[in-house]
Amino acid sequence: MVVRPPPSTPQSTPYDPLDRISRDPDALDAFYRDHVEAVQRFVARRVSDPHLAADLTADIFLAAVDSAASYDRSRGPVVAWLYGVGRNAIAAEARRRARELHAVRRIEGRRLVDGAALTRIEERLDAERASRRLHRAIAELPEADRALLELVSLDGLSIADAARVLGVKPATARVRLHRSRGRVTARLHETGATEVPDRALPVEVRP
Amino acid sequence: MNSTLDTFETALLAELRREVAEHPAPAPARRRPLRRRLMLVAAGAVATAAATVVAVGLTGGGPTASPAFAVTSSADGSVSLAVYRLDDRAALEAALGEHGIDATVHFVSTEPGEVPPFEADGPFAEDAPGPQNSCGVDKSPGPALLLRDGGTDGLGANRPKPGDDLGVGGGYGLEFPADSVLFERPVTFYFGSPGSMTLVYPSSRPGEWCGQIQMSTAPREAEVR
Repeated sequence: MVVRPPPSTPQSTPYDPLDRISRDPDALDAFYRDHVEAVQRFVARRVSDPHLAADLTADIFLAAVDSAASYDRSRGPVVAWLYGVGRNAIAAEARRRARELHAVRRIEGRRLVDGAALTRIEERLDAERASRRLHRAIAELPEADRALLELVSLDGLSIADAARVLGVKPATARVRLHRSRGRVTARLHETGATEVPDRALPVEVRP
Repeated sequence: MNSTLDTFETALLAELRREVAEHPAPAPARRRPLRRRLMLVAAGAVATAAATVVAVGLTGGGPTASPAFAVTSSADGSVSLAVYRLDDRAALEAALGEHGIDATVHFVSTEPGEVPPFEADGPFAEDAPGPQNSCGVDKSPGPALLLRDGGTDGLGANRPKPGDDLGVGGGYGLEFPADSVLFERPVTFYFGSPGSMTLVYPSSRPGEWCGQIQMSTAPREAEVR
């Protein structure tokens, strides 16, 4: 006799399974509408140039389309996976700039921006100013600690989901977060931040 | 759902739609490699484990017969296995499959202390433990941990107890950590004399193989936490 797990009750969305977005424009449409605001805020927490923000938004959605088959629902919600894709896209951009390469983008996001949309992008960038200061403080942590704290503090993933995105155990993640938050708090005080955003101190973290 | 897109968002959506319409990815059945498919099986099995799901093999008797094995998923994504008797290979393979491990199981006869077959269709990979290890061995002991009695907390009530008639495993169990590569790669288990087993699975480098030997040499301890 085998005791079977209860049947899963997947959320019904037009983009389930997720790899549909890489071949069905309507599935992609629904996915895009559900996530475009989250992706633009994710970008705004990291870069301050509106044209670069537009390029990166396009890069992240293209990368999501290209790698949708890599989404594994056991490793957390779609948005956590999408933030992982976003981190890679932004890292790729940083490498491109480091090498001063101006590779031709498949979709040039900045070309699609007009006056009104530019204002909206700039508003989003203003709203995330404090987050970018936090992002800079986090940027000085070792890479593994940094990625984790970014996803938890900056992007609001649960520790369990962030751990899955990065392939570490939840317990390991908690230890790293505890270590990181002291360093970041100190750094924010040094740089003159009068108050440390609550998000720098994940409440789930216990010593 | 965000239905009020601005001009940038609308234009980007149009470009993305055109990209997908012009260069659609092939349907998964034709393109997705085996390894990917196996991972999705794992996904299904683990995603449904809200807290703890137990598969227990009961063969050769009614519901009161003692289990031949126990496979358990924990909420943290790890899977634990204990084998009490060499009984019903197919049920054990199926139970491991439900927990995300694509397993082929062999029961073999070995002398105590003798290592079960350790063979593959190619050379075994040799590289130092670390994040880049092709066998997924970041630190010793690797993607499956041999646990002594009392260490197999994940097994809950199915944990071997002193006095259980334990066959293979000898009171020991295996734990597959949530990040084990065995959730992504097919694995062949050889269970031999009590406490001895080998695992063989493909390396991340094509054509190379990985193996893990699990031997319990110490006598079983009577004490269970």
